[in-house]
Amino acid sequence: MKLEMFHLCPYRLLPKDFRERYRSVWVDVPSHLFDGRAAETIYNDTLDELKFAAEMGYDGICVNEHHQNAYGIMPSPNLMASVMARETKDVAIIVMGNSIALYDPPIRVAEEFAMLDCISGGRLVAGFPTGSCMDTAYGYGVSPVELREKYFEAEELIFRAWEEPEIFSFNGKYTQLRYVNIWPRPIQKPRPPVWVPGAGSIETWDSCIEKGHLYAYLSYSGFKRGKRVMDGFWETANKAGVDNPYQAGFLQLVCVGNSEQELQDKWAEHAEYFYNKMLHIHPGFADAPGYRSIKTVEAGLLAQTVSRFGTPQSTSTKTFDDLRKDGNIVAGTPSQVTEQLEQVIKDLHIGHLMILNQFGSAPHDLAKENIQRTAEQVLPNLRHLWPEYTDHWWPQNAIAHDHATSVT
Amino acid sequence: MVTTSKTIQIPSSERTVEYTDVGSGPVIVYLHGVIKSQTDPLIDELSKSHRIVAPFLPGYGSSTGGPGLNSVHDAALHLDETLDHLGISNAVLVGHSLGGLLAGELAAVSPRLFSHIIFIASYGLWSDDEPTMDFFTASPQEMSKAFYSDSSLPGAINLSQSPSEEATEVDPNTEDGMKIIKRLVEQAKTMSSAARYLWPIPDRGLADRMYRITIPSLVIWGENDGIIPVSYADLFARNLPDSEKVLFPDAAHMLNEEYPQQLAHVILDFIS
Repeated sequence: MKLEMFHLCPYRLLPKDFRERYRSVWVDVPSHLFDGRAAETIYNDTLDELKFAAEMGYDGICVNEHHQNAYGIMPSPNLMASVMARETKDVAIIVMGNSIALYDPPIRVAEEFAMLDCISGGRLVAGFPTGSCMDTAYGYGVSPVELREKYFEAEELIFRAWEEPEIFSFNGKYTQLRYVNIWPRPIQKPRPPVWVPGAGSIETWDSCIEKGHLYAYLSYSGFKRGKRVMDGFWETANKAGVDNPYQAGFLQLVCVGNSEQELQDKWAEHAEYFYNKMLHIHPGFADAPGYRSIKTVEAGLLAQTVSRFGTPQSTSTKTFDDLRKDGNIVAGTPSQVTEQLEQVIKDLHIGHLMILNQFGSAPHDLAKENIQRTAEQVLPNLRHLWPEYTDHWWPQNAIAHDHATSVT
Repeated sequence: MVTTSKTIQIPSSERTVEYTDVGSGPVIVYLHGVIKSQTDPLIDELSKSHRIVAPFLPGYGSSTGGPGLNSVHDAALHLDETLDHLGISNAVLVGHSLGGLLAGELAAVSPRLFSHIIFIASYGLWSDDEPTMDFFTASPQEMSKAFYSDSSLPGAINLSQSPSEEATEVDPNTEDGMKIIKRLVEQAKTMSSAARYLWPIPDRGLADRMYRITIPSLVIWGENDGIIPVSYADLFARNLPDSEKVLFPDAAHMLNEEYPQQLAHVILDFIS
């Protein structure tokens, strides 16, 4: 079992009445709420926390890409990953990832990922998300009906740019290049492992299975709803004879405390900040027509799952208690958290768990405390899982703690 | 009156086109809007004296849509081919809303096919000073208000009561549940077809091609249009070499449902 620390780099200073005053944390979030000096602290705290997680024994550290929002202020995760490639020595650098349909030409991603792989000495995981509707259709103006076609064309170009030894021409519908010959090339051959974050689209499952990519379900609706989606993925996978849990990942918010009182006192406001402000997305931005294929829309309705970013828009706010009860957040003492996460890992059949130890408005010191407690008291008791499987989705030169015996 | 539609397959492209073909007399080709009226009273009015040929736009009804028809030029050539297959020439071309955008492109490509062109509350141009409404981000209720000035019309009620996915817990095991699911899927299909030609800004450069539309042109707008502001009527009139303009003071975007008789009268007057 591999465990990675995921950081969203959220903007932590939204006003108390954000939800009441503004309609969305994404796309049209007012710019006057942004303070550059606050961002200076947030970016540097984020880098420190990722580095700290690496030092504490996480297998990998994850950053991701979002645009025009206060939910996660890393429009270029590669800048953050670049710092981490140098500041860390052995962990996997998981860029989760670059929304490849947004880059013109997409070889920009091939180049930057190759740079990251070289700087890190072959520790890069290349994440290829389709990108959320808010980021792609609204933030970057890509036609939602063309997004997937553009994505698959970009993916083909990037793989060929990494793998083909000779200069080639690429005559695509969206990108035409007479000479493709990128410098540098990745250290990892034939290419860095590819992880695809998804929200439950059928096309993404099919593509991951067909191409052998890792599928990561990044949702905040918790492991209960997450199970419905992962069951769908595994049903598709099993039909193709795939059952290695290392080909799947899941994201989970985790906080570790010594007592109920401590958890409540320290984490309630930050958890509520996350769910009630960071996921406060105008419904009109969450699902542009054509963003999900008709097939996915139909399948979602029939299976009664909503396959879109975040949670289904709820009109009411949620409390820390609600969030724990619904499985959105796993919070407890080290042994309670270990037990719950083991259940999540087994239920969802996943070999990679991406843990958010900082979320919402959680300040630096609290995040670090949480990282340390999780790394020291939870991770060692989960690594022994899935001993019968091999992880084929791990960077060639990153450290691997999995299959270690559990510590008590 | 409910008009029945037919379906043909164009042999050369193998695409399917669903279309309405009613009435007899000189031909009016009519391209519907973003929201295709379930029953279109304008067709009823015009078909009293003319033959109305009204193809469903790509992706609407059973008409073929999809990536092969992503650009307005693909669509214009496809419509040209459709009319060719139906043996239509020397017709009057009427386009409403999204249909207006495609009518403009079609007329710019094939100006010799048509005697007159009529733009009703049409997409196709853009003004930074008065952007068109981004209805893709709006709720069904907000959309209904912007499309209609008369909220009691069946179309307005139907639109405002559209199910929205996040607000609907549907049970696929019931007949009602399946009905809603069917409607949601149909909605997703037509809206994504519209997005093909309107995303992110409904301007595909028609202004640069409008000099080719030298036939007599009529621009009709509702002064209360909440989707495309009435100021666009002037933009169209200015870009068209030979145009007239008629405004309906109390109408919104769905003039075809709100003022079908008066609208038909204005159109017939213009082409006679």
